Amino acid sequence: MKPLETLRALGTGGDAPADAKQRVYGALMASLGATAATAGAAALAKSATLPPAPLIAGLSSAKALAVAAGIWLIGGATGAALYGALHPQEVRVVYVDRPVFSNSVAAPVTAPAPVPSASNAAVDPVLDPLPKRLASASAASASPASVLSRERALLDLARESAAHGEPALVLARTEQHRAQFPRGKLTEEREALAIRALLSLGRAAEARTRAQAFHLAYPHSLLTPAIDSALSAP
Amino acid sequence: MSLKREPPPTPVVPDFREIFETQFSYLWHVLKRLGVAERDLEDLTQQVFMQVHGQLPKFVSTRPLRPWLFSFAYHAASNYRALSRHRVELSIVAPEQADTTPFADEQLITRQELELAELALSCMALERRAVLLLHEVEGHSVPEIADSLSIPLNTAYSRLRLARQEYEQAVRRLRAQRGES
Repeated sequence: MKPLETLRALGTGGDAPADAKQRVYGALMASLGATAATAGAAALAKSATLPPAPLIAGLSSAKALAVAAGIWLIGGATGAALYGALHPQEVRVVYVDRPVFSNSVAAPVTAPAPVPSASNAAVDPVLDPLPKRLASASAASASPASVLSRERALLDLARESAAHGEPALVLARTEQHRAQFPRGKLTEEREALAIRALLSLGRAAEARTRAQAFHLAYPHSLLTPAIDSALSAP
Repeated sequence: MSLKREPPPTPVVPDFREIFETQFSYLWHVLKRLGVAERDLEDLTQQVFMQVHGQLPKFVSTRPLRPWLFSFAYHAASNYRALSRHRVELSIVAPEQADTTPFADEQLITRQELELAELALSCMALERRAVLLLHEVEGHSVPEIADSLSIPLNTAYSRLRLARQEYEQAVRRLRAQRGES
C-alpha cells in the first residue's frame, strides 16, 4: 500500500479516553462556571435587552428614551414571540451569566424537573417587598419575553441574596420562582441555586434528594459537575 | 425621521455542549497528531475548547465545523511547540538514510503501517502536517483549508504538494531504518 493510502486509512482517530474527557469537561465547567450560558440563551437575552442605539441618535434625550423604550418593548416581545412560535419545544434556557455564590460553590446552569416538596415547609416565608425591577417586570405583558424577564429578575434576587450570604433568602426566592413559574425556562438554574442554598443551610439530605431529581431531569446538564462538586465538598 | 429597521437576523449558533460531546475525540487526536505530548493533551484540549467557547458566536454555521475547530488546535499546537520546554528532538529518523525502494501496491494495512504513518507525520513541519491532515485524512478541499488556516489559496496548494513529498520521504526513511523493503 502506498504511503498516502495508509495515511488516509488512519481516519480521525477513535474515541479519546473517557476519563480524560470527563476531567476536561469538569475543568471547562469550572472555568466557564459563572459565565457559561448557552449561546441560544445569550442571543435571546441580548435581543431582548439591547436598545437599538443607532436609531435613537440625534433625538432629544426624552424622545430618545421614549423611542428606545417603545422599540425595546416591541422588538423584545416580537422577537421572543417569533422565537417561541418557531421553536416552541426546543427552547432550553440556561442562565448563568454571573456568579451566584460567594462561598465555595460554583455557578451551574440548567433545568431540572419535578422536585421533592419536602423542603417547602422549611423555607423562610418572610421576603422583602419585591424590588422595583421585579415589580416592573411583573407588570409587563404575559409575552414569552416578559415571562422570561420576570423569571430572570426573580432569580437575580436569589443570586444577590446568595452573594450576601443569605441562603435562607435564596431558598425562599427559589420557592417563589417555583410557585410562580412551575414550568419556567429557568427552572434548571433555580434548582441549582436551591441545591446550593440547602447545602449552605446544612440541609445536606434535602440537597442530595433534590440533586437526584436534578440529575434525573437533566442527565446531561452543564451544571452537573458543579452540583456534584458542591455536594462532595466537606 | 424614519425609524424603520430590518428585523435582526435569527442567530444560528451551534450548541457548545453538543460540540464538546461530538468533537472532543476529534480535537484530542488532532492535537496529538500536531505534536502535543500525551501528558499535555488534557490541558491543551481544555484550552482549545475554552477558545472555541469564546469564539462560538462568531462561527458561521454554513461553514464546515471541523476545519474551524482544527484552526484552534493548530494555533494551540503552534504556541505549545514554540515553548522550549515542549520541544522534542525527533531522533527517531535518520535523515541521511534515504530509501527509494518502492512499496508493494497490494498490502493489507497492518498495525505497524498505521504506526509508521503516525510516526512519519510526527516528523513533518507543523504547517505542512496540518494541511496534509486536513486534506488527506479528513478530506477537506484546499479552499476550505486555506480558509480555516487563514492562508492564501496558493500557499495552501503549495504546502499540500510539499507535505505529500515530505511525508512520503519520511515514510521511506522510517522503513529503511526498520530494514524493510
